[in-house]
Amino acid sequence: MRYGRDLSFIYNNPTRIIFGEQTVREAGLEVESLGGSRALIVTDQGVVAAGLAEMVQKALGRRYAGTFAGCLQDSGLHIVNEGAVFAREVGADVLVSVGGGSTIDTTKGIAVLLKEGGQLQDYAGYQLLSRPQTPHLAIPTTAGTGSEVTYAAIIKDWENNTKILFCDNHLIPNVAIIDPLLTRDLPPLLTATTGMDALTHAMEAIHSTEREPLADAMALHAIMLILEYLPRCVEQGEDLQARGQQQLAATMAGIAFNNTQVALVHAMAHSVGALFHVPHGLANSILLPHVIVYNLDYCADSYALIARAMGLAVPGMSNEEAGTAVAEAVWALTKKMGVPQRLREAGVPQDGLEAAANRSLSDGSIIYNPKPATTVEEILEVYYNAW
Amino acid sequence: MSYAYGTEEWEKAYLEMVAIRLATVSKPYIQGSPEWVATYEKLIQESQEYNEAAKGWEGTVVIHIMPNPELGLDADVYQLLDLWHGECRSVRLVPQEAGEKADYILSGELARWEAVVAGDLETTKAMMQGKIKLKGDLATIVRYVKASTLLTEIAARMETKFLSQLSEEEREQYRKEAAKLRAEFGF
Repeated sequence: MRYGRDLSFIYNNPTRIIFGEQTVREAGLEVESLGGSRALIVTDQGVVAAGLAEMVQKALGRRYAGTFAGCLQDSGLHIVNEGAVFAREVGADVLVSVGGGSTIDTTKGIAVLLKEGGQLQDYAGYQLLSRPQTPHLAIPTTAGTGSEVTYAAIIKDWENNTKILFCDNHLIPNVAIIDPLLTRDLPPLLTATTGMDALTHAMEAIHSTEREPLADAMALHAIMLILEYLPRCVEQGEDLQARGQQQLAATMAGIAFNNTQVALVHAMAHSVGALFHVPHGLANSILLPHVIVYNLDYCADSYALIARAMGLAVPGMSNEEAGTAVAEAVWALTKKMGVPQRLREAGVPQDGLEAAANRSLSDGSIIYNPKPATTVEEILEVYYNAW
Repeated sequence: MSYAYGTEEWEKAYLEMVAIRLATVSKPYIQGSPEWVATYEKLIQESQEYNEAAKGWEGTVVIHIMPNPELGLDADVYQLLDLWHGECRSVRLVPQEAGEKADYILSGELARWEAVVAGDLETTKAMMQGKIKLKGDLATIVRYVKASTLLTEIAARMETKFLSQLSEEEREQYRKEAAKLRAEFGF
């Protein structure tokens, strides 16, 4: 998919990004620069137990107003509503998310409710907000979802067992602190799967129908960084240089897909996530190479670009061969890192694949896939291959 | 005389008004005018392609155009499409209270909707870029991207005059007629 003469896009990247070891110490000053004086930490019990929330609390100093540690994987409408109530009780005027994508997304939801009131479900849709929301400083502890720079929040509706997508430019966090120290103790498998989430973001940004050059630049460099540093993070978690580069890659991949959207991999990953609780990064990791193979006859030139970035391109190689090489390289990477290779290993039952395929058709990401996937049968075939 | 929306009298008077305007107003029709909306309705009803693509669709859709007094649009415009299982039951200009109750509401400034109808702005991209807002269940609408694209294409195929193209005199005339219709029908 070369850029045509009719290329036309808007590139949006407003988050102030602060990177470096110990930069979490800047949190208090950043809260003040956002005009706040009462910062609520939004996090989960795991982050609290790891002592990371306390690090941030210390950095906030007199601006610290409280901690809401009720976040869960996939978040939840009820969790956002509870968080907003707590935020109001402590008089929060800035939100500081400390955690992975689910925590950051929960905080995006709380930011809306603090400003607009009502229930989060009232804001389901696209670009419905008309003004800036409660200021949000995001401090990711995985590398990662890129949620610290994106306009989307995915919140699970636990009652209906579905994931709801909220998309709005006003959801993008104002500031992100990317501190390698906060990912140092992430266990190897979680490092690998959250890292694969970042790789999927980068690759989907490139094969998306909304692909454009500025996002491509971010995505391609993210891919190069991930290939070099993610395995190092998995093997030697204390390697802070590798941790930092992997975090930056995740942020860059987030910037990329924030501008171009994601596609079929995410539509399918969201579905198995909602139905069978497969962690998002793991689902992406398993599905990514299979979707690349599915898409090959529609956007091999995009994969050829990726192959060059991965150092896989060989003179005389056709675009299709390059695409196949990319898929195989992804499999090799995940195998090397010990990531489960098949959906069945992730607890997905075979007789659940049809329901997942059906659900994928309702996922907004699917419309950006380069190869149309408009029937259950088409998606089911990819699921079977991945199962 | 004013009519209460939702009553048989309103519907009867609306259709009579449209019939008169279709017979007397010269083409091309101004975007969003009753005669334009009636022509749009007819084209959707005649579209076999739309009928196929929207087979399972249930729900009302509103195209909400925000005011632009400088160009003669003094109030919000709500075009309500009553769509059901591939059938376009009606397209009407409706009062705000009715428009805001639709299952799906696409809101945008006049300039954006002019660009959509001119074929210069693709609705999905417009939503992604924040140029058009969508209220409603995304999971459902995503399954009918083809149908919604067809609705846009049908509008883009119509010969249309845009408010931004009117002369001052035409704009004043439009403004007066719109105010009269607002008083009669509430939109």
